[in-house]
Amino acid sequence: MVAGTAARLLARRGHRVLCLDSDLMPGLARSLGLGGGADVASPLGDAAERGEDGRWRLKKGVGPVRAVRRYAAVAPDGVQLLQSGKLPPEGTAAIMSSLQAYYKVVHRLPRARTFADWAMVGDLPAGPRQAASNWAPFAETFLILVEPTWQSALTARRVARVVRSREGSGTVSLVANKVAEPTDVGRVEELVGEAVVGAIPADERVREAERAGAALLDHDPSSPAARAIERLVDELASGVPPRAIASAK
Amino acid sequence: MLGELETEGRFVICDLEAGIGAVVRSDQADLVLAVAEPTVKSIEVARRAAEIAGEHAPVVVIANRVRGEEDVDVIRAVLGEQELVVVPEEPDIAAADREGAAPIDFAPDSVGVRALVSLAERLGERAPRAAA
Repeated sequence: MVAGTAARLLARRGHRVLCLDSDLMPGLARSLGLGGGADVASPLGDAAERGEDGRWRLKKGVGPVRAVRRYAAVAPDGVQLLQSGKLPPEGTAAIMSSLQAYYKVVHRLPRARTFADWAMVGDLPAGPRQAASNWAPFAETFLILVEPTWQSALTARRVARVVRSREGSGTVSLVANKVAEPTDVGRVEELVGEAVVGAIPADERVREAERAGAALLDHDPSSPAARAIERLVDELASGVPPRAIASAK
Repeated sequence: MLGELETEGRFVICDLEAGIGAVVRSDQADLVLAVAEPTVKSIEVARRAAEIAGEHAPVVVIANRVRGEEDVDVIRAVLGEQELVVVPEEPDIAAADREGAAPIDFAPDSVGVRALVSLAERLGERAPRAAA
C-alpha cells in the first residue's frame, strides 16, 4: 500500500515514475489502482534467453528503455509498472525467464540515461531475502516499514543490516507503520535501536481499501495514512528528485 | 527432513513464510492450514496456496482477523470449498504480538485464543503426522 501510494503521489507532483514490483505475490498493481487483472505470471517471459553457456541473458535489443516501453503497464496518474512476475502453481521454474529478465533490467536501470530524471519506486516482499540478493540496485533510499511488534522489528533490523552491509548501497531509513498508540513510535525506535523518519498510522480506511482491493488514493485520498505517506514523499522529494526508493517490511 | 521426523504420536508443525513459495516446495504435509485475512490480496494468496497444496494434502482455511459475518462471507466466497475455521480479530492477540508474548500465555481466555485452542484440539483428533 505504501509503495503504490507513494508512486502515485510522486506522479501527481510532476515526476515521471517507474514502479518496480519484484514481489512474487500480488498486491502492488491493486494498490496502484490497476486491479488484479494487471498481475501477469511472466510479463518479461520473452525478454530473456539462455546463451550457449547456459546462462540467462537479455535478448538482443532488449534494455531498460525497451523493456519499460514494451512490458510495463500504465497505472493511474501515469505511473509505469514493471513486474518481475507472479508465482504460478508450477513454481518459479515456470517463470524463470521473466525473473531473469527483470533482474538484469533493474541492474541496468541506474546507468540508463533515459531514466536519469525519473522517480523509481520499488516494492520488495517482506523479509531480507530480496534485499540480500540485490533486487533493488536502483534504490538510493531504502524505506523499511516497521510495525510496533517484536517480529516486525527483528525483521527490520535484519533488512537494514543486509542493505547497509552492501558497498554503495543507498540510505536506509525506517518508517513506523500501523501506529495505533501514542507510544508506538517510541516503541519501534526502542525495538530497532534507531530513530524513524516518519510514522504511518493504523487506519481503518487502509483496511477498507485492502478489503476492496482498491488504491488508497482512490478509496480515500484524505485518510490519515494517505496524508502520512504524502508527508513522507514530500520529505524524500525535497531538494533532489527521488530517483529511486524501495520499501521492504 | 519432514519424512525423517515422522514418528508415531509426534506432531510436526511448520510455520511457512508468507506467500506460496514454500508451499510449492513442500509436499510432505498431511494437512495444510492456509491463513486468509479479509483483504483481496490475502484471499488471493490463500486461494493460490490452497490450490497448490490441495494437490498433496487436505486444506483447512483459517479465516483470520475477521470482524464479523461479512468478513467471513468475503473469504467463503473464494475459499468456500475448503473447511473454514474462523479466528476473530482480537485485541488481546494484537497486544501479545506487541509484547512479544505467546497469545496462549498472554490472554488464554480471549476469544481469539479459544478459537485457536479449539482448532488445535480438532487437529489432534484428526491425528495428522505433520501440519504446515
